[in-house]
Amino acid sequence: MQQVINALTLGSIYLLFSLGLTLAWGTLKVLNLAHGAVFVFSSLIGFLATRSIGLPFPLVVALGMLSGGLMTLLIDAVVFRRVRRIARDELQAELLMLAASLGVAAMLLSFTRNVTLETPSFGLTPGTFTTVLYQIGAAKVSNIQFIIIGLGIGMVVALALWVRHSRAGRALRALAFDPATCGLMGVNATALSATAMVIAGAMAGLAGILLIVYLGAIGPESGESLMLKAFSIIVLGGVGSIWGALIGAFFLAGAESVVLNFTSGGYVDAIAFAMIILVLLFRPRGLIPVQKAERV
Amino acid sequence: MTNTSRNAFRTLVASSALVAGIVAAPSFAADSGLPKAIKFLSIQDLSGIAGKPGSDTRVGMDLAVEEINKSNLLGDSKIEISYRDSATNPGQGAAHMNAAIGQKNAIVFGSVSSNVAIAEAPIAQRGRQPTIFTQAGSKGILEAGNFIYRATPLQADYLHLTVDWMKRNNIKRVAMLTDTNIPTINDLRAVIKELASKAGIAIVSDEESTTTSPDISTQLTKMRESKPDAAMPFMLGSRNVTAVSQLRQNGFQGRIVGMQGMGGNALAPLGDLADGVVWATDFNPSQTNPGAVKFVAAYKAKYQGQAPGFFHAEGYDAVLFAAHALKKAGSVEPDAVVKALEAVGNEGFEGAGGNVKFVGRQQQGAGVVVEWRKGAEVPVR
Repeated sequence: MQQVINALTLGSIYLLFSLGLTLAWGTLKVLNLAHGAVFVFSSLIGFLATRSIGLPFPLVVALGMLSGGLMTLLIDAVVFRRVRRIARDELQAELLMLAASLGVAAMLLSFTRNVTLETPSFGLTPGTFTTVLYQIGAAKVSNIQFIIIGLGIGMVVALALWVRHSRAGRALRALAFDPATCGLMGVNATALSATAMVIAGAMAGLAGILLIVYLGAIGPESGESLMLKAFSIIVLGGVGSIWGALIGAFFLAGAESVVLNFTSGGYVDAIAFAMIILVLLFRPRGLIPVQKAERV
Repeated sequence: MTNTSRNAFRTLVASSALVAGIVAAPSFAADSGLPKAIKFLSIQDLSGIAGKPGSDTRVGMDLAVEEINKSNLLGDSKIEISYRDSATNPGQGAAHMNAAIGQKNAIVFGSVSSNVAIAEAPIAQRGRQPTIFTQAGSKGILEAGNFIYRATPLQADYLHLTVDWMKRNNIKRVAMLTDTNIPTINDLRAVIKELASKAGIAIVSDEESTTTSPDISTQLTKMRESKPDAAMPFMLGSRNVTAVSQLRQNGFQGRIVGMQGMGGNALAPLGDLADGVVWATDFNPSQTNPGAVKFVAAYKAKYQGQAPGFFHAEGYDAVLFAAHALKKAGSVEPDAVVKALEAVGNEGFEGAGGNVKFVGRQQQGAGVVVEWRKGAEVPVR
């Protein structure tokens, strides 16, 4: 029971982190390798805010989401939008954005490292969040685990509903399918892509703040290892599929927990990723393949 | 060109070379045989994952240089230290070390992280460049050759203190968690298991984690379920914080015993939650040996009353070691410097870490057990 709760918590963290990445990748064809650096940047803002002005936890969450959203919007405005304009074709644009996002990630990482030289493991100031433990059967579950699992699943449902039923969500799906026609039909592609990037960044920010509370502290490089996991989750679930991200995240977390339960843990990455390779050999488009006409 | 103009040109070139030679030749201090300006170069991890240890080491080095120059330990000669950032990147460290060869640095100080130091050490040895490393405890560094020294006691040499402490505190069952991606930590795990076995302490759970896995809750659950008297997370940086935080938040009542990575203020984000965590280290600011007292006072005077950590102390002692050797050598010639390093290492000198001595180019050290109490590490009596 305890290990199931642990796996659900880990899966929800993976999910929150992957959601923004798959949204940008699926709709705007931006594989934003700076997503992990934005995640750490948002946590850093939370850390600095609690250290200097002692914000209450809900405001720290809001600040983390805001800083993640604004940072991603800035990256989109300064880098991605320009790359889209100067690229010869769609393929070149995707490759250029990939390379550019790698550069942005390195810059953000250097910034975070320099700011945290004195405190390379940074967490929210003690007292910002009080952990309460509940006994449920044989398992001990903390309030932060409830919050992480609840928000993880809640965000998936909210994002899926927004994409499917809202006017902006439908326009985003149309944009993923045919940007040129969308432009002719009066869809403001720039505003729409900015909205998607803000949501993606806010998800990274939310994941950052929740993880920093759950783990106690993170380091500047913490986003890098999560990027590897998120990349696998998205490929496993199907690029651009929100429900696919949900399945991929819990599949990976479950696989890791099973491996950890039955081995000492040193081979967790090898075995978990071997399972993913097996799935992809038989379902190369992921567990929930997205039709080209409906990428989100 | 005529013969006359050719001769004039040759004369001009020869004169220029002579003038340049005179200008470039080092000027020597009257009494010591050392140049007036002694060049030290520190190739240090000032950024990257080991940026904090590297930067702390630099602060300790700068303090030692300042003191040595003020005290005229080297007569009229003054040390000029410069830094290159290896960025915790073996390739970058190796490139800086390659560039350093032939620059006539009396001593080079190498990177703190083992994976970078392993790339730098063979280059320094091939270039016959006397080089002192701090931290960097992996095999393959000292083994590069006789121009290489390590000015940090090996953790394995004083890890027995941790086991002795556990024995005194009636700890009989221990659950371990090791980051298997870090070679030094893997070595220490083997040492602990051997020492624990000899002391009659049972390892009831022996879990592993990799640096790429952010969450360790599954391993910690298994550790708790094995009902140990103490949990031993052997991790790096923020993962130590996670281990302590999640063990305590999930109601683990036993002791938590770590390694030196718990130090350097790593537990600060946890505040009182980390109270009672114990580990062994090679330096603690409350040490009473004259070298430590002098170092701590100088550090506090310079940094608004803050206490120094073990990285600061190691950087400080490494520079003191180099300065004492140069004084003995009376020269910056590499062979003479290496000979003097060996002599000073054998005799010992008073540093922040006590009477600093070397055996086989490796600094020896007694170590001390410390405990995290109310936001600070205090020695366990």
